[in-house]
Amino acid sequence: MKALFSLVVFVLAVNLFAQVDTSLVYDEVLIVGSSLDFAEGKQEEQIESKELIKQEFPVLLNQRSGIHIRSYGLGSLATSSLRGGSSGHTLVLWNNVPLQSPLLGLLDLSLLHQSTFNQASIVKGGLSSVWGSGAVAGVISLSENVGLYPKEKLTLKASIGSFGFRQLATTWHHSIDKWSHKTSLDRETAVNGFEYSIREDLPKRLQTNAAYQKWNITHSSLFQFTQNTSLQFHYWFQHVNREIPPTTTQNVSEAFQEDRANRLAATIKTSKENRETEIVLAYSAEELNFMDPLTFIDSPSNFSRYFLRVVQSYTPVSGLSVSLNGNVDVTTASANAFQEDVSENRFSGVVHVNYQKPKYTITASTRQERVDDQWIPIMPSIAVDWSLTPQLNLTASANRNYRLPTLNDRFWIPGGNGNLLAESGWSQELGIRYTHKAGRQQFQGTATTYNRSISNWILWTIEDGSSFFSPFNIAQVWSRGLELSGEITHSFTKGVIRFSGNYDYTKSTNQVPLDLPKIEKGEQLLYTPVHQGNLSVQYATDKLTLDYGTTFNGSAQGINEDVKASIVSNARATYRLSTTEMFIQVNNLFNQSYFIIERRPIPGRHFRIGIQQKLF
Amino acid sequence: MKTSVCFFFICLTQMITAQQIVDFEEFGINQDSFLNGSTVEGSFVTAEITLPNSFTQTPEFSFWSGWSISSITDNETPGFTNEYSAITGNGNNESTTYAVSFESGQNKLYVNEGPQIIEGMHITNSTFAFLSMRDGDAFAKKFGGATGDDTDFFLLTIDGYLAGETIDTSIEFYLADYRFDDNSQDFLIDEWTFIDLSAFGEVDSLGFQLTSSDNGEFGMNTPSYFCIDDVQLEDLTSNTIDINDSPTLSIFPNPTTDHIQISGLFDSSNQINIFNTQGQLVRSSVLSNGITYDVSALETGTYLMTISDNNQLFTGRFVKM
Repeated sequence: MKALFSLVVFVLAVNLFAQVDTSLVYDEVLIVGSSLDFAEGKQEEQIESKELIKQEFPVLLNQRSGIHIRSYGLGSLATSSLRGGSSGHTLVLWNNVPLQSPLLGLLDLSLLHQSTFNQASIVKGGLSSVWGSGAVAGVISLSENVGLYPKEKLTLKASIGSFGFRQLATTWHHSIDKWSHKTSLDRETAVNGFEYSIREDLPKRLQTNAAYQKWNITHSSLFQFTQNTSLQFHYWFQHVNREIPPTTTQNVSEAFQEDRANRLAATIKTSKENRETEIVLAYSAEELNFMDPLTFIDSPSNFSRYFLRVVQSYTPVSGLSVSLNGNVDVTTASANAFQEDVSENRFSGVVHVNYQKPKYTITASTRQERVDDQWIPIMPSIAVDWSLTPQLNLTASANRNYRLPTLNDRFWIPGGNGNLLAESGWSQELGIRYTHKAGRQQFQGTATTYNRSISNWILWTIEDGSSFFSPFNIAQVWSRGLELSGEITHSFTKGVIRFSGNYDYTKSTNQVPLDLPKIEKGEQLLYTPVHQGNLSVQYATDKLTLDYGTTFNGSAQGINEDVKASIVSNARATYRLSTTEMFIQVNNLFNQSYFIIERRPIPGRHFRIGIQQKLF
Repeated sequence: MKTSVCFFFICLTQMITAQQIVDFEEFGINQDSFLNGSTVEGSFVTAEITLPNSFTQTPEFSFWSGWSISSITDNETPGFTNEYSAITGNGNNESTTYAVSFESGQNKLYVNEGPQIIEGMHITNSTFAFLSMRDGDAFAKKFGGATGDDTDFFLLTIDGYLAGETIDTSIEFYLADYRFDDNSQDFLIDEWTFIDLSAFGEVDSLGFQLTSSDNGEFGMNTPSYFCIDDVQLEDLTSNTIDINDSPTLSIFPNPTTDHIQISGLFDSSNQINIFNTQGQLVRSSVLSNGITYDVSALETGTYLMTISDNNQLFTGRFVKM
């Protein structure tokens, strides 16, 4: 328990470091146990609530954490690639509950809306031993931390922007004694009929069929029964209608997609002396309907999921804590392509041990999971965090990781393969973190190198004699790389200036030559740039905040053609006057023509302005 | 009923004895329908040629490859839900029925009666492939690309086979060609076009392979479909004789309940094919002279048969009681 407490203190310290400048600007930065549990020995990037609203979340992820975002265009599908993994290799949690679709194994990051969480934590590195399937390359943890607010608060927000962007939102906080509630409503629409250029000598084209409407309603409650016992409850309703725009080599598209989700999560925490218990109970019911009137395709699918996690932590002696973790994950799904309703039942147990001394912390975990009638191999991990000096920390870890086949992999007709094995492999990483404070200046820098191999990587292919695609455990992927990040903060009498940057070198290669998909041995995976980096600067006073950021994505190989390297810059100015906050934002400041996914155009320079008014 | 059987017999006899054009009308399907293999096993067979088909059926999904027989007229709906359609909306010479090829590898066409010269056939694009190349879709590019300047093509390569060996000649036909410097010359085939295949000489099968300039990591993006109609084979009229006109051959007993025997055969073994009234091959085997042939497993009805003997093709019919 003490170790956990120490960890929280450490994390709080890190947050306070990051909070120095923001405290000048904002009166409220919530940090309530925000770090991802059991992630010792890993580099963690946290994004706070006031930072979250500054950009679309996928863009923010790319800028702040170096996660490569495979964006299909404004408002369209966006998936992640961390450390050369696929989108299914980064686990996304919402209040400690997995968000990924069990049918697709991935999460469309463009559906994540900042009104539904006020803290984002990105942990790089394998965490399957604790967090299970999909936590191969890292974890994105989103949480809504409901504090005990001192008074009632109602906020209205309105934004407009290029291409018909409109947003209206309201948030109401209310606290009574030991109960606190927060309710948010957010409606966002856009037409996204932007112009884009294929070649300078050709007329510009107008993007069509790219509109969307998003509704997000969230409610969170905190019941602080006693000092040691609390209940958090979260509800998230989401309804998104999106048109699917044509590619640059497609004349017209009339396809559209509807996503609808109801998500519930409740967390009970109680502690007594040297024991702590946490129970997470969640339910979600989600639908995805894809329709294309031109081709008469109507492809509805849905799933419901019950999730239970029980964590019992025990601190027998000072510096040593043991956590036992049991998980039940029951999913039922249906789709046109399934022969009948399908289900998947997962049961897992985790043991996590944390041993802490003043100079170092050692953690070890192991996980055993059973999926339906199949045992998944044991997933162990070990991590060390060693304070060489008060400024210098060394981290090292080794993990075994896995990703289960998706329901589509298993049950899709035709092709679904019920004999698939889980993808699995080992990862190792070594990191160094340096923090230094001298007067009004602070510096933080990290360097991490990693190595990861995954066997039984699942790809869809056509076997000899077959006429349709099926998934098989045919690939073996070796990923290795170097990640650098740094941040310098200088405080003035009336303001703060912060420079930050990160660079990722990522080699992620298939080690087995394949005919279909056509991949040579040693070839870099698709849409995985070797080089990627970000530079940003922020200047903040008590009333004004200026943000400028530049993102570099190196060239990458696509399915059909290569994607050229791009450099894109964004800028934002926020001005605060009493209870009113206004902003203006320019994306793609220098009007670059670029692609992340080939044939999927991204708009040039575009604007957003908005105002937020705190009524009481 | 008797009249219709007689009419059908006349048609089939003409098809085998005088008609050397396979126009697929003999399958007798209604307009805007198709045969994708769900009702036959392995092949579509006419008197002259065999078109292989692979069909998979599950309770909620069916999948086919190889050949289908179609009379779909919708040439406007894009996508694979309209996969049985020719871009012309009908067969050659505005006929009803045509054949559709869908195969990611090489698709085959077999000649039934040994080596024979295939003089040619009419070919056109499927609606699925044509509209995909013209307009693009979520997977495949519109030809010419975003700028209109991409040098795209959709090529059908036809190989001839004789005794299992590839004839050292290939015949190429561009279903779409956007490789011209002048984009106005770019074209997509949208009508039935006769392809002369006589250069192969005698063949016992043909192989059809599609290639495209639009390829990704998962292979060819352009839908691998095309359509054929009016396959013209060498005229065998001089070699085809009705058994009733033969001074030596006869079928007996006819009608029969369990077996037939053909007397007067010259060769010691003879290829015999038996067709039902839909023109589908229901039995194919080798028959020796004077040996009875068991037809007890056949359903009751009238059957047409062909038998080769002494370098001649004979046709006849019998009734199974």
